[in-house]
Amino acid sequence: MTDIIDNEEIDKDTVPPEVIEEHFQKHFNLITETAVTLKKSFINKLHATNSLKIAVSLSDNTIEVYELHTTSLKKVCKLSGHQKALTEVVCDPKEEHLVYSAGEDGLVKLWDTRTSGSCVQEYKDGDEELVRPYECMDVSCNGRVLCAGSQLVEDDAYLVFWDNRVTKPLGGYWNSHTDDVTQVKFHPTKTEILASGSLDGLLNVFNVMEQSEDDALTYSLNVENSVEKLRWLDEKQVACITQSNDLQLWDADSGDLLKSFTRDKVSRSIKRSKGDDCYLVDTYTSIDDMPVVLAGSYGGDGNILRSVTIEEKKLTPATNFVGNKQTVRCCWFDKDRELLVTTGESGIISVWRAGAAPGGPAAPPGPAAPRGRTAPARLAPRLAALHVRRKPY
Amino acid sequence: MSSKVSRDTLYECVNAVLQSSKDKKRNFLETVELQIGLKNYDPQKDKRFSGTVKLKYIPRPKMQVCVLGDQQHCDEAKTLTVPCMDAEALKKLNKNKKLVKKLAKKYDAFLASESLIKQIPRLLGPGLNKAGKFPGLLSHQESMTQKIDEVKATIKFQMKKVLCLSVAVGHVDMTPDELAQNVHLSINFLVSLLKKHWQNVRSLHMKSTMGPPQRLY
Repeated sequence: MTDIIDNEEIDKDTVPPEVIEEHFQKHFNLITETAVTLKKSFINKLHATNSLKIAVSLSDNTIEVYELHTTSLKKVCKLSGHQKALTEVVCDPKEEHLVYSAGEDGLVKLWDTRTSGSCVQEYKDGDEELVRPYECMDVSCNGRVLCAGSQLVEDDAYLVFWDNRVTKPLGGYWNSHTDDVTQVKFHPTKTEILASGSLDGLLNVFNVMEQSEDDALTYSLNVENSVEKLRWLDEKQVACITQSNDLQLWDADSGDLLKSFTRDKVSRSIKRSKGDDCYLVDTYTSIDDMPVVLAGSYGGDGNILRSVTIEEKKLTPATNFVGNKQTVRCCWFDKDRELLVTTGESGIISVWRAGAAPGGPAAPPGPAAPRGRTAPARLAPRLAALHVRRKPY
Repeated sequence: MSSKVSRDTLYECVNAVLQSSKDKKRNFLETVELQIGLKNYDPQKDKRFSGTVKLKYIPRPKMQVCVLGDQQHCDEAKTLTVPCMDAEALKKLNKNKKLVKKLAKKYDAFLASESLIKQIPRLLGPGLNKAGKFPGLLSHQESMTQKIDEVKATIKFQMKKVLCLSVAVGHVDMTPDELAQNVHLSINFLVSLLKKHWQNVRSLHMKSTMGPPQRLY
C-alpha cells in the first residue's frame, strides 16, 4: 500500500476548445447580470414566476425580488424578518406578487411585494414549546396547500401542511423520514401528489388526500444517499441529485429507478478531467422536452458551467455557459422563453437566453446582444475586488 | 503530489490502536472509528455533504441482514441460511405498528426483491422508514451473499452542523493490513467529497471504542 497523497491534479478540459465548441452546440448568451451586494453573500435559493419576477435568498437571511425587463434586472424590493437562517423561498404559482419563505426559526412567512415588502402572514405549526427549524417548503400547483419539511427535532423529522388562508396547520407527517427533510416538491399539475427527500436517503411520494400518513405514503424510493435536490421533470419523472453529486431519475407512478449517473460520469460528459471537482446544480426540462442537468466544476478558476442532455443511456453535451463567474448553486429555467437564471456563491444573478453563437447569425432579438456584451465588462472590476476579499486563507 | 499521511504513520497508528485493545481486553468486540476535523468550512453557508462508500473489509461483522424476498429469493435465502420473509409473512403483520417495530428492531438492515420493495409502504406502512431501515434493492442479477456483504461493508459519511464527524471503519480483530486498507479507502473517499479537498481537513484521528485516539494527520 502507498502513502495517502493529495491529488493536486488541476481540473481541466479533456478536449481542446474547438472540440468543446463543436460538442456543446446549444448556445446560451448572457443577456444581463447583477451582483445583489458587494459584500460576500451567497445566494442559496432562487425561485421565479411566469412574469419573470425573480426571488433570491441571501446569506443575511433576507430575500430580494428582481424583475427582468427585456435585458436588465430591476430590484423590486427587499424582504427581511427571519431571525435565523432562511432556507427556502417560493413564489406563489397563481398570484405573482406573493412570495413564501421558510426558515430555521420555525416560521413560514408570506410576503407581498406590492406593499414594498411587508410580511402579511406568518404560518406557525401550533406547538409553542417546540421549534421545528424548516429546511425546505413548497406550494401546491393551485396555490392552496403549503408544505414545509423540518430538520430532525427530538428524533422526528416533520412535514407540516397548511391551507394558505389559515395560519394554523392542517396537520403533519413525522414517521416517514428519520433525518432532516431537505426537499419537498409538489407535483406540477396534481395538487395531491408530493415528493419529499431527506438526509436519510429516501425519496418519499405521498398522496396527501389520504386520511393518515400510513395510507398517504405511496412509495419510498431508496436513493441510498442523502437527497440534495428534487425536481419534477414531467408528470411522472422526478430527478434527484444527491449530496455526493450523483443523479437519479425515478418514475413516481411506478416506483422504478429509470436512470442513474455517477458524479464521474457527469464530469466526463461535461469534458472535465477531475471527477472530484464536479458539482451538480439542478435539472430542468428543455424546450424539446428533454431532461437536462446543469453541472459545474470547483477546479481551476471555478467558472466552468455546462449542461448535458439526459438521453436513454448517456449524457450528451448541450451548452457551455461562457462568461459564468461563480460557483452556481441554483437555477431556474423558463421553458417558453428559453431563459435560464443562475445564482450562486458570489451573489450574482445571471440571465441567459438561448440563441445563436456569438458572431453567428443574429437569432436573438436585436437589443439583447450588445447589452449582453457590455454588462459583464462593467461588472468585471467589481468582481475582481470581490475575489480578493473572498480568499478565506 | 504531496504525501498527506505516510504509509509509516498509518501503520504506526493502526498498530497502536490494535495494541492498546490487546493490552486491555474488553468483553465486547471494539469498533475502530475514524474521526475527522474540518476547516475552512461554514456549515451555514457551504453545501452540506454526505456519501456512502463500500469498504474492502467488513467493519461490522455482526450485522444481521434480513431478506424480504419473492419466491426465488426466499428459496435462495433458505439454502444460504439467511433470515428471510415473503410477502405473505409481511401481510400478516397487518400494518400493526408494534409488530413492524419489532421486526425493524430484530435486524440491522433489510434487502428486498424488486417486486416487493415497491409494496413495502403498502404492506408495512412507514414503520421501516421510521426505524431508518428501509430496504435496499436486491435484484436477480446479483449474488445474494455478495449483496449482503456489500450492505455490511458500506459506511456513510455525514456532516451535520458541527465541524467534525466520525465513522466506523473496522474492529480490533482485523489484521493491521485490513484495518489500514479500510482507513486508506475511507480517507480518500472523504477527501473527494470535500469542496477544497485536503484544504478542508484539519485533523484525522483513529481510535477504538475504549482506547486512546491516535493522530493520523
